[in-house]
Amino acid sequence: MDDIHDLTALYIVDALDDIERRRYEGHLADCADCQAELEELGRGFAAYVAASTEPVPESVKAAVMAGIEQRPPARRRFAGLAAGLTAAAAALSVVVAVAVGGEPDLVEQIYAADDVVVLDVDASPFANTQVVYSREVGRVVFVSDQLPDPGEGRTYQLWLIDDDGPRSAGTFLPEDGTATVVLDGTAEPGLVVGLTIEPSGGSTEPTGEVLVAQPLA
Amino acid sequence: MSGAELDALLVQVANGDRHAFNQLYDATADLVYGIARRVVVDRDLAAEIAQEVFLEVWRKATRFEQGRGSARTWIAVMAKRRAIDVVRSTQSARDRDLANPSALTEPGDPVGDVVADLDDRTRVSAALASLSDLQRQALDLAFYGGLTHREVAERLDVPLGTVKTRIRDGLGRLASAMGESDG
Repeated sequence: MDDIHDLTALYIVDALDDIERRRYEGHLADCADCQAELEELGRGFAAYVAASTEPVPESVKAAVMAGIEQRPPARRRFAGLAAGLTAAAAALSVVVAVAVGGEPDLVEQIYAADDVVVLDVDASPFANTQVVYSREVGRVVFVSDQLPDPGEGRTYQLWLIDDDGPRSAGTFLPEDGTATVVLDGTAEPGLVVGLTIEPSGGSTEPTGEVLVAQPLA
Repeated sequence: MSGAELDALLVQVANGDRHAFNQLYDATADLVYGIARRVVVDRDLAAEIAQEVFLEVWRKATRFEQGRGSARTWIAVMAKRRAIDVVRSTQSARDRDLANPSALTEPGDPVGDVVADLDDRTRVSAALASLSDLQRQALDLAFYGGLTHREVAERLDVPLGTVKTRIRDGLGRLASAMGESDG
């Protein structure tokens, strides 16, 4: 593992630890072979990440351009930076607040919590679905972007299931297959997050097939 | 936009050139957002991450060194790191990855919704199809999974050299498939 010439690809995909990375960067400056390989494999990496390309929401650009207006140009780094950061943070809160309507900060709080746990739900057809929770914040978020339409007169309903059985954790309808929903009820280890499709308005207990049953590990 | 053009733009950005920054944003925002989406899934969080990444690009452009790789790679890595930071509370993200390795190798639409034009899209698609499953898995764990090569080797229970070879050969195969024309 010690031939430094072999680290180029790992450097590109950011898979070196800090020490290896610095060592490699030091070596790179003097090694024409590695520079050539960096360029060659870098083109491969460009193709690799291009596959994830996806249209960015238009609102982002305005926020970014506003953010840099409030900052000094890159070379001058001094007290003005703090003001810029505060403004940027405020702009970010707005994005999240708009996203989840009535519960402006919860999603952000959960993701920012030191003890956040992100669980990928492994249940077809629910690829790209996560259950995210923090005991510190005490809440659970259900996130998905590939939800089929539940059908006319029907709704998705989330459940928190413990030894006493399921309790409703709220109903929701996805928009374009996408949903970010903070569950009603407290995040506790041992609970299972369930998802069913129910008649509009929801049910007192699950009547539809259990589509997701994700334990809070 | 070619890799060389992007590199030049980023150098201008380092001089505080807002017009260059605007162009750089247009050329890379879909990439940054797409990478964030791949890591965090949630669209709003990904948008928030994209916003933070571009503020970071503006702030740190002076640290970009052309001899150390392309602007595109520099920005892509920044996006990935920021997204990984969001999902990672050190242990929990690793637990998540351990619990469900398939999630990392499952890109939904393999080509994304937009790669600049049909020609590019076809080439990217063909290039990715040329990867073996093992190469793809190692690349995905390292990049989108945010793991070091040592962690990838542990995850896959293979020697370090194997991980290194898979990642290098994977990138090499992609580079050949994309031809010599751009970067």
